[in-house]
Amino acid sequence: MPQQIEIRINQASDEEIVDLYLKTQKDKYFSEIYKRYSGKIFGKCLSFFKEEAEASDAVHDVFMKILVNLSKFGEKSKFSTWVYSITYNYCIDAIRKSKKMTIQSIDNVGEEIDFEDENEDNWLQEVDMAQIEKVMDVLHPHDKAVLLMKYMDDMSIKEICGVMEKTESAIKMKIKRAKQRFRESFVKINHIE
Amino acid sequence: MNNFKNLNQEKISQFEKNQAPLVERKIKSNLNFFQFLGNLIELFLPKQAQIYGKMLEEDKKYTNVGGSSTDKLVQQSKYPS
Repeated sequence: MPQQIEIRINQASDEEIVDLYLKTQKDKYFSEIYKRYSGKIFGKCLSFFKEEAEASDAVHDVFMKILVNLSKFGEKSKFSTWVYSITYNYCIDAIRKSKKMTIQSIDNVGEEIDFEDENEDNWLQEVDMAQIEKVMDVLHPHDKAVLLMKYMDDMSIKEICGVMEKTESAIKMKIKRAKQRFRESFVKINHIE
Repeated sequence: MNNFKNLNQEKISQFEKNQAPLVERKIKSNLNFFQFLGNLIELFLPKQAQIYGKMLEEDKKYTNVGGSSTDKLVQQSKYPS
């Protein structure tokens, strides 16, 4: 019987488990959510904080935020998108606090945007992992977040809009600029070496 | 599949093996502490409200006692009619 329940938990969707956790407050449902997301959250945090200990602390804080706000999760988006939005916002906030980073405005929508940058897309997807890690180390946290959302989490523009609370054209502009800065940093790093 | 998806994979699996259970325990103990606080408030807040309520009532009683005695004096005529 307990094994049957185990199997059911494994097969249940994130939203179903969240619902069960909210109704019963049982540890096993929280553990399942934790099992599914702790590694992913750690990976994202590690892209922002260089120290593993910092990333590990961030996992703790992000989960506390998730638990405190879980009742506000209205299933308007996928649970994973909601979790990632908390993670990215937490990381950006933490870096902003620690470095007193200045945030550039990205709301210059009036600028001409050339969205036909498929070549750039293909190039970016072919860069090897070690190079990506090096470039990500020097990128601005906002650029990192946008690139991770698009290429690691396969989020749609609409979903990224929800996370960053910006308009679609602002997000498209932000992605384009992040890709440009990625390429610039890539060239710079390889030129120096 | 692009290489962004493989970022930090090695470190993630190391974290899942070593650190993740510790972090989970820490989260659960924090959660239990918050639940304990919540229960404490839930248990004692209504009682405290009751106590304050009773104290106010008592206050009213005592002020009424003083007030009523003088009222009675005023109401009672000095000489029987």
